[in-house]
Amino acid sequence: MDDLTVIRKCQNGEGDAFRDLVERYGRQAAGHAAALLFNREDALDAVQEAFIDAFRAINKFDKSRPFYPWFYVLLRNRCYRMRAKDRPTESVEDMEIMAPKTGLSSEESFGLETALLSLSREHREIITLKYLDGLSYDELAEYLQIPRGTVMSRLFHARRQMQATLKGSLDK
Amino acid sequence: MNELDCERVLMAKMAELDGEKPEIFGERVNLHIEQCGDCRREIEQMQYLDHVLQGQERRLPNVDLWPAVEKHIGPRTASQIGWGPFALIAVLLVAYKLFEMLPERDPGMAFKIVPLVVLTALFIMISENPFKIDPELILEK
Repeated sequence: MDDLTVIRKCQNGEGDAFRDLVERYGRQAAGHAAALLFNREDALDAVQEAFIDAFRAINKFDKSRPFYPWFYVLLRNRCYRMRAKDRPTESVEDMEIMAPKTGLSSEESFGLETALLSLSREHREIITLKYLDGLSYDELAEYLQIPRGTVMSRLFHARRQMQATLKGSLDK
Repeated sequence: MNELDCERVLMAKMAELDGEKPEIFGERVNLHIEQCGDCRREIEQMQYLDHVLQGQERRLPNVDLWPAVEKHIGPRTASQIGWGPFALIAVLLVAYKLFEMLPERDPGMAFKIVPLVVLTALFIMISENPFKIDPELILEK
């Protein structure tokens, strides 16, 4: 069943149909929330609450648009509200955001994760959406609700900051 | 020598390398880069970073969120009921207030109790107490 069919069912009061969306996007959302919060418990909490928000607002969903970017905005809002709880971020050893596709030594992976954690939340978000999800600038603008020019500038500064943290290995 | 600053040049070059349309033309960017060692060095480093990051994918945790979500999305929620019942309450309260303003009225206790009864009935109907702090947002391990 595609997203649109599921959403139509939910709008007609078939709450069980929402299960499809939760199962389809739950892991992806948990990955996104983890990158934002760097705390597993908070991430799952945020995803769960975002799905509840989505269900409650499903009647307002514009069916001409894809589901996940709309949901991501809700998720992001939840993640940013989590900040109020002020729970500490987990260590890089306990919380890995990335998995290497190609052969990268464990030291290099650790360095990359550490550099990612050192970024501000906004920079970490744009770097992971760009590289780990392969989003285009227009998609980034939609997900982050910012103009394309701001995407370019934020991505540039995020890369620069990450590059500065990784400078040691880049100089090799 | 062109008048572009390094930051704008680097942003444009990175957009081009990302396969996106840069905001300034390539010729002007390339001219600047040819003449600017700092920009060349930074582009090299950014390309290396690009290369390393492109070799990564997102680690997706194994979670089953449905049981936790399901508890909170009953078949009838306030948003599905819509604004009708709330508008009814507002009308009743305004009518009550107007009646109270009439001279020589004798409303009796009924008019004080009716709004409370209506509110209570509404909360029962939607099975949701808006003042309740929900302690059930427990994470799935």
